[in-house]
Amino acid sequence: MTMRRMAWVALTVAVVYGTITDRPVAKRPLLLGGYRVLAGDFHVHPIPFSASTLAPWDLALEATRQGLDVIAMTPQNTVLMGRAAGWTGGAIVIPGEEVHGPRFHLIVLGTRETISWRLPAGDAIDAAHRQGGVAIAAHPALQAWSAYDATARRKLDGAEVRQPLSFTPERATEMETFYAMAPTAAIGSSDHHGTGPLGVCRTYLFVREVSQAGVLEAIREHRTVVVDGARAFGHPALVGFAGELPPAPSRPSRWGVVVGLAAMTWLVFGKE
Amino acid sequence: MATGRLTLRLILPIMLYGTVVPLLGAAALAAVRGRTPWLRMLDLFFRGCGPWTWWMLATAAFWSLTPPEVAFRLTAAWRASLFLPLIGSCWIDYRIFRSELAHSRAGAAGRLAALRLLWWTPIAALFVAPAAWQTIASALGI
Repeated sequence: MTMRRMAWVALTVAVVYGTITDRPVAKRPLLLGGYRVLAGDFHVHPIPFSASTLAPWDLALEATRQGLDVIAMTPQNTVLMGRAAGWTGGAIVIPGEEVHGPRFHLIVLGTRETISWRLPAGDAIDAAHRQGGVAIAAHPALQAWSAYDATARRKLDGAEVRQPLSFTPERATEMETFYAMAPTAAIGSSDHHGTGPLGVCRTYLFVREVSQAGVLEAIREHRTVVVDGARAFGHPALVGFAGELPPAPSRPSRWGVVVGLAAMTWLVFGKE
Repeated sequence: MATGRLTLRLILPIMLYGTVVPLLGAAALAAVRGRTPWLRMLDLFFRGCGPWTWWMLATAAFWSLTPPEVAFRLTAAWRASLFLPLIGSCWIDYRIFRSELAHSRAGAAGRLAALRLLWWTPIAALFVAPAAWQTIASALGI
């Protein structure tokens, strides 16, 4: 057997193995404190127009593999594509956008019309509320603080306290400080652009009903918890449940990826 | 790529969406090829894609095999690594215009610039237009 043929066989085995073992995470409904608990990721960028790799319908299915019950489509400065996610089932998908301005980034959820990035933060939050949506400060590290005066901070429904930027300790401290300044719902998001896993940071929501309206209501009333190792952020009456919340699913075995990448490298660049 | 799964559920759509990149490249190539036969031009064009293919394989390995909390801390370095295929592919294409297609230095540089402009502008529009427009408009005070 030639090396090329062996590479094709190895790639086929890796793909067949990956496809067969690709199953949604089995979850039982979790009830805590009289609420149904959902896992959510509210900062997800779809393709096109938003520097990502997957379309909304793909992301809704991927969310179920990452143990998420709800995700939000947040393309930058447009609400296009958000509503397309329901086509294939999967997790609950909330349409929205990331208002991507020069001084701040704001996640708005449950909106139907694009909000201008030229607005000051307080006005953008008002615009989201007028549409029945909620507004979340996206990665509010130090450089974004000046965009949110005290009035704007009071208007916020949520603030990201954990997201990939917070893997850097300084940024984590800044986001925690902002969260402490603006009494809002604690939000954990993946800021998913197709690189890190969906739900790598996530929000646990304590909802009265499993629906988009129920999720938005939980955020408005700050009934959220974000867990980071031994630490937890969120509603004082609910953070005590942190130890009972299901962690993100463990990463699948990497042997299929290693074999697949090695085979692809040989097929593209190897010589007969 | 960071899911760590080689599953058809992800491979097929990403392949489909990804084909737009070489298709747009081929369309741009048609505009700058001059009298060079189309199939020969296309064959030469794919040589310039080599650095990008290496980079994408390395990127896939990096994001799938590195723990997220480590990978995200190295995001700046990963983004900076984009310059390697960017420069490498431009150099290969320039050499092709010079050596294989016998253009002058200025002619080769002009064709390279036109190819990149015609190819990458629609890609940028497709992938990052709304945020890119905000960045440009803010910088220019429009």
